[in-house]
Amino acid sequence: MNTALFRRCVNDRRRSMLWWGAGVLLLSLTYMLIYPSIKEVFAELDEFPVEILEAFGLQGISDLGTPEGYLTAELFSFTAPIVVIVFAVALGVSSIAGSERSGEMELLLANPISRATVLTQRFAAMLVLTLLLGAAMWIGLAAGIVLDVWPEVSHWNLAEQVFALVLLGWAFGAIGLFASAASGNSGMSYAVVGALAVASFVLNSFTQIVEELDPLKWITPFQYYSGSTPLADGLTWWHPLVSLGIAAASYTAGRYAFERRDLK
Amino acid sequence: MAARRRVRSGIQQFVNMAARSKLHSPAPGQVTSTEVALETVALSKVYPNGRGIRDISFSVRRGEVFGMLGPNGAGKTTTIRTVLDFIRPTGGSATLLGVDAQSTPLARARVGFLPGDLALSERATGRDWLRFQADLREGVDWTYAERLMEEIEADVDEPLRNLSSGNRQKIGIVNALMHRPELLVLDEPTSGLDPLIRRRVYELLSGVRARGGAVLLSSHVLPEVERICDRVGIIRRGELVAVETMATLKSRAVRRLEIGFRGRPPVEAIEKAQGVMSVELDNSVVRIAVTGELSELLRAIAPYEVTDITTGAQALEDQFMSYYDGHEDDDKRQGRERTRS
Repeated sequence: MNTALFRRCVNDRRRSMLWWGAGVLLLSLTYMLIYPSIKEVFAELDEFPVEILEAFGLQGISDLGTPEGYLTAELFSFTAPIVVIVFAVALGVSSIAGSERSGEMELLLANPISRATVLTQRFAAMLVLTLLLGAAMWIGLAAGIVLDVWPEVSHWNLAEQVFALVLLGWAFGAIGLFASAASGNSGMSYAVVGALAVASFVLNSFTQIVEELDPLKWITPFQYYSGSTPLADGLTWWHPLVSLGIAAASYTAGRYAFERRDLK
Repeated sequence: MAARRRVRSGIQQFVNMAARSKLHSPAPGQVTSTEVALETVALSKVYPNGRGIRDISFSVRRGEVFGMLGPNGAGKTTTIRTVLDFIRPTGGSATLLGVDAQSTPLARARVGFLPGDLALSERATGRDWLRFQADLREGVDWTYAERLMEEIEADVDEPLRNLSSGNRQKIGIVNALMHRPELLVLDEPTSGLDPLIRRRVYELLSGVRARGGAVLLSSHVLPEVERICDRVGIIRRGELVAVETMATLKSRAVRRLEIGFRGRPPVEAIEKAQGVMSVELDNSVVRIAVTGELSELLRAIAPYEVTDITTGAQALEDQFMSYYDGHEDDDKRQGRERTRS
């Protein structure tokens, strides 16, 4: 198989990957460094009514005073998903629509390679690069265990938590890929996927407060990320499968649409 | 026994048939399938707003440079993009080197392509990008590619996004040619190039033709088409209105002349000369539109005292437009002939 396209896609993003990776690593290290001083303040948060905490997306955390609770509330419920989703969606959208706008797509497809190949290899590049971003975050947080800042955190649970985050990125990245493969319009793709991500997050938060909305949580991709707290309790085994399913379905639909439409 | 004889005679017939078909080479002008590098049959791409191309049928033979001539927006690029399967036809089909363009990406394996607006805005250098394209294609002879880069003086060590459009165009030309394609599809290949490099590109295209390759190029620059094309298809408002050999096109091209006379210009003699389409009198100067050869016109004015001849310096647009308004011109000429008789 000719993997030139995949290799180039990864290679081209070497520099930006370095910056993203460094940024995420620093972010993780910062969370680690401020933990000792914030520990006490956080313990007091436990006094707040559970509804208020839930409204801030801090649901299901048995003990905010623990490092697991702190990381889940401060990093994994909001900041980390935003970073990873933005990263993955940008990759997904630029893979097709961005490439069409620049005129690069025609030059690629003048070669004897199929549209499916272009889509597949760039999808693969998005998966790998998002995984690398997750790895950077994992290194920063695992340093906390090694350096005895939060020795009680399990290596395994941390890996599961970061993996769940990567899966969330994959799902939204794939949705971005689908939007751009179907429309060929990057501006519109960003808008649609951005709105979808925000709506999904907000709806998922609401379903925790408003009981009537509870069944709706299953339609948001966020549920399969934040529906459990892997850092404390480990992954719910089938949640990753749903995230992977969303990614696979988006990829398949994107491929179907891209093979059938006109290039822009 | 009888059955066997029948079988044998059947075989004999088949052999005879094969021999005949080998002996009888096609008549000149008649195209066999192996000679055709690119063929479109009633190719249409009609957009919801009614624009696009309709029923485009033409073929480009091996060893031929075929020019698609037409003003901007006539449908040249749409035709090219449909032929290469970037956009899907609403009707008809295109065949690249004997393979249906839509059936497999392998149809493009021995095709070279240069887009009309080459938008390479990457950080990569030209060399890196060409290397990547060569990797995608596989089996590119890199020493040949480098020779091409030298030949047209492509600046391959500069990041692509820093290049001027002309220099970017050179990278695009190397990209289209480096795998020694049997069919070249070029959308306005020499735009932005200086005359020297332009000539080198023409030489390269002649080389492709000489080794039996086929070239389809679009252009709205007549001298370019005149110089390198063997046949020309004229596209007007999405329709292929004529396919002509270069010789025919030249004979139909309109030239504008201004001839100054001492004394009264011989308007009637000029009007009678072959190919003269219109005559305008302006004191001692006549403005003439003429197609084809000039010898008759020159003979007609020879007895008179000519003070000056200017050819409407490259009235290319006019020549071009004569094709576009071909029917109108015919009507005009017929009208004039009627009044004359």
